[in-house]
Amino acid sequence: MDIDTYKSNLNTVKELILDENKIVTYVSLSKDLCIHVNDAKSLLHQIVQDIRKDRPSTKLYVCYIISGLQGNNCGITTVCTEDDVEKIKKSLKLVFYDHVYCVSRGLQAADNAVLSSLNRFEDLSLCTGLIKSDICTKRTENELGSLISKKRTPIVEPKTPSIQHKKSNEKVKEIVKSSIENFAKLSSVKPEPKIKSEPEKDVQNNPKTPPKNKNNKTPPKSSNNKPAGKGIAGFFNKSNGVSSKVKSSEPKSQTPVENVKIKDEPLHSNSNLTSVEESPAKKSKEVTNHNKSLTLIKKNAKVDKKRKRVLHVSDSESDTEANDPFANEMDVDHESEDEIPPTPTINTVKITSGIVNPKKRRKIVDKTYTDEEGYILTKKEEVYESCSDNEENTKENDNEAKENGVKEKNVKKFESSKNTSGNRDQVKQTVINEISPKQNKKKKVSPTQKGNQKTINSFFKKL
Amino acid sequence: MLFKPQASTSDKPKQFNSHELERQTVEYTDSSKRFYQVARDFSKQYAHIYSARLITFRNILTPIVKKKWSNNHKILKLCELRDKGTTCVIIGTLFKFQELKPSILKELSDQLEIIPQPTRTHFVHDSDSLVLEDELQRIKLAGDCIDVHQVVTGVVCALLGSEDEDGIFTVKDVCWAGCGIQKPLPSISGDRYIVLISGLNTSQKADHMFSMHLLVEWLSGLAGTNQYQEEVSKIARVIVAGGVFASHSNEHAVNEADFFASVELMDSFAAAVSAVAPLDLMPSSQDPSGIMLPQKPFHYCLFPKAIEYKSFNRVSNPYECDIGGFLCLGTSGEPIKDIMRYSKIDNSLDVMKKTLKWRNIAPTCPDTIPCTPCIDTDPFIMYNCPAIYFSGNCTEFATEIYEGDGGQRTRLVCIPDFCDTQTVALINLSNFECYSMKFSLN
Repeated sequence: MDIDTYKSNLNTVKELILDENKIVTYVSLSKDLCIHVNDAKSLLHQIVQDIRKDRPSTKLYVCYIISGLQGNNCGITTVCTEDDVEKIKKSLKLVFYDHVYCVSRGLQAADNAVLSSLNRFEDLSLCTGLIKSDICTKRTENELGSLISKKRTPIVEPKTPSIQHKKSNEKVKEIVKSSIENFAKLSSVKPEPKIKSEPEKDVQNNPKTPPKNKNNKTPPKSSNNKPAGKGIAGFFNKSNGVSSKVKSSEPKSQTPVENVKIKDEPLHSNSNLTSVEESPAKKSKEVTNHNKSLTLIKKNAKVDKKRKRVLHVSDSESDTEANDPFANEMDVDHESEDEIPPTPTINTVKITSGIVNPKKRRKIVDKTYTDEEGYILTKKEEVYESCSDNEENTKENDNEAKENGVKEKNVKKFESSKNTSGNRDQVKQTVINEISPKQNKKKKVSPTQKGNQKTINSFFKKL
Repeated sequence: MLFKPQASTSDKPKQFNSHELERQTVEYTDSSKRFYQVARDFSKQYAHIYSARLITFRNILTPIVKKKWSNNHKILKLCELRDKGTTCVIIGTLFKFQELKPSILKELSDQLEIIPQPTRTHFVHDSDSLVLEDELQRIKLAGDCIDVHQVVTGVVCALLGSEDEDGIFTVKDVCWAGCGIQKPLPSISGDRYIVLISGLNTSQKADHMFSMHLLVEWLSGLAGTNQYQEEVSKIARVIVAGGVFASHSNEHAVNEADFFASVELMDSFAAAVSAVAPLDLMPSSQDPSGIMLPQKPFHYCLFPKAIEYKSFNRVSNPYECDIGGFLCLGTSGEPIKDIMRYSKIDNSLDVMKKTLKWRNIAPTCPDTIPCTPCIDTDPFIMYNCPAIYFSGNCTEFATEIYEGDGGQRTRLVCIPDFCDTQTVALINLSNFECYSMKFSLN
C-alpha cells in the first residue's frame, strides 16, 4: 500500500469514526476499503493512536480481540474492552495474538447484538486475506443440476400399493398369456413378412420391432406396464374393466369384424395386403396411413391413462370411435376380465381380407352368452354387414380402401404395441411429431358428438 | 503454534503484513455408505435389526470367546441349554427390563386413572433386571459379573456361566466384542487440524451469534498475526456434528418464523465456511432431516448459497469418513444421551468408551432411539476401530485417548453445544492431541 492510499484510507476511516459515528471493525474496513485484513488491523491501530494524539478530548471506544491458552488445552478467543486487555492477558497461560477489533466514538459498550450486526457472514467473502482451500471452488451449473437430479434416489416402495398393483398385474398377465398364445399361433400360421411388405420405411421399422419383442415375449411388457399401472393409470385400468362391461356390446360387434378376416384367410395375408395397397391411392395414402396408424398407436399408448374418458366417447355411438383400434383394446380388457380368451390379436392382423368388397363384409361376430350355470360362453357367428358406417366416417379424408389400410396398420400396430408394450414408448417417441394432425381430427369429431365430452377431451389434449 | 505453548509469540514483534496463504489439504474419503444406503422399507419389523446384529456379533464374538476362555466351554444357543449346572458360553442380545421405561400403553392406562406421571429424564430403577435373548428365546441373567446399570438393551455379548434349576443363567464372566481392528495410524509431517463443532442452534438467536462470527473470522484466517494465520491455514476440515438449526437440549418447539430465519442464517454460515474450508454438515434429531437414525443428509434446498461450493458436504448422522488416513466416526450425540438415560453411566466419555467396547455406536437403536427398520445389516456396528470418535451436543468439552485391548488408540471427543458453551474442538492429526477453543465476548 503506497503512502497516498494509506493516507486517504486513514482519512476515510477517521471520517467514518468521528463524523459518521460508525463502529468500524477490521473486517468491515477490509471489506469497505478493499484492503488486506492485516492492513486493516494496522490501520485501525494507527487511527486510534492518531486520534488520541490529535484529539485527546475525543472519547474513543476501542475493542480488542485476544486469543490465548487458558490451560488444559483450552484456548479462548475473546473480544474485550481496552481496560480488560491487560487483565485477560495475565489470566492466559499463553497469548497467541491481540489486536484492535473495533473502534467507535463515544463510551457506549458494544454488546453482542451490535457487534454481530456489524458484519454479515456474506460479507466475509469480500475481505482480502482469506485462507482458502483449493477445493473450495464453486460448482458449475451442470454440477448443480446433476446434484439435484442425483439426489432423487428411489425409495423402496411399501407393499400395500403393490397389492393393488398385483390385481392389475393379474389382469395384465391374463392378457399377456392369451397374447402369447395368440402370438404363438400367429407365428406358426401367419408369416410376419406381411407387415414388412408395406412399403413405408418408417412403418417397416416399427413393425420390425414387435417381432423382436415377440422373441423376448411378454416379460418386458409386464415389467413395462407396471409403472404405468401403479399410479393413476392403475386406477383407471381397474375402473375400465368395469366400465367396459357396460358398453361391451358395441365395440364387440366391431372387433369381430376384424376377426372374421383373420380367420378366414390367415395364410393369404401377404397377397391381401398387396391387393389392398394396390387398389386404393398409393403412395400419398400410405403416408397418411402411416401417420394415422402411428397416431392411433400413440393414442393407444396413452390409453392406459385416458381410457376411461375415451370410453365415454365411444359410448356416444359414433362409428369412428368404435372403429378405433382402441375400442379393440377395451374389448380385450373386458374379455380378459371375464376370462374369455382375447382373440383380437390374431383377428386384427388379417382385416384386409374382407376388403375385396368394401361395401359388404362377412364378419364373424363373437357373441357372448351366459349359460345356465353362469359361465360365459363365446360363440362365433357369421354375419354379413355393410361397411357404410365406416365409410361415412372415413370418407371425410380418405376413400374407404385407404381407411381400411389404415385400420389394418393400426390394428397391427396396436396389436404389436399391446403384446409388447415395451415398444409403446419407442413407438410413441417415433411418432410424436406426427400426432398433431390426428389429434386435430379427433377434436373435430368428438365435440360434435357430445357437449360434455368436449371439455374432458380438450383437457386431455392439453396434457 | 496454534496450541503449542513452546511457540510463544509474546516476545516476537507483531506482524500484520499482507500476505496470501493457502489452506492445507488432507486426503478425504466419505465412508458413510452404509448409512446412506440403509434400507428404508418401513413395512418391515424391527426384529430384523436384532437378528442381523446377533448374526454379525456371533461371527465377531466366537473367535474372541475362544481366545478368552479357550476351547474348554461349548458355545451354545439358548435352545441347546439342557444340562443344568454345566458351564457353557451363550451369545445373545441383552435386554433390560426397566420399570420406569416409558411405555405408551402404560401412559394411556395411567391417563385413564388420572395419575399424574412425573416427567423423567432418567429411567433407571433398582429393580431393573437383565435377560439375554437370541433368535428363539430368552434367559434371565443373574450374577455380579454383569452390572445391570452399566449396560443397556441391544448390546450383544458372550456370557460364561451355567443355568440353574430355576432356569436362571448365572453369569461368571462376560466377553464384549471390543473395538475391533484398527488401521495403523499414519504419521503426518506437519500439523493438520480438524475442527469439530456441534449445536450451532441458529434458531435460537442469542449471545452465541457474535461467537459464530468470531468463529468464522477465525476459520477464515482473518484474525491474528501472520504466524497465527499460518497455523490457522492448517485447519484442513470442519465437521458440524448436529444441532444445526435446533439443539437437542431445546425442549420448547421452535416457531416457524424463527426457523425460517435460522435456515437463511445457517446457509450463510455454511457458505462462509465452505468458501474457505471443507465443511461436513451432519443433522441431528431436532433438525429437518427425519428423526430416524441413520439420518439422511440435509436437503440441498436448505442451503442454496452453500451448495454452490464443492467443499460443502451434507452428510449423514452417524457419519464416518477417512481424513488423511485417520478413520473418523461420530454421531450427533443421540445414542450417547440415550444410553445415559437408560443406565447409570453419567459421563459422555464413559458412554463412548462403552460403545467402543460393545462395538456398537447405538445399541439402544431401535429400542429407545427411532431408527429405520434395516433388514439385512445393522449399520451401527463398528466394523473398524475409529481413530477419532466424536459425539456432538454434549454439555461440555471432554476428550480422552481410549486404548483398546489390541493396542488400538482412539481419540474420543465430546463436542460441546456451541450455543451454550461457544466452544469448538480441534484435533491435531500430527500428534493426535485435542484442544478446545472458545469464542466469546468478555
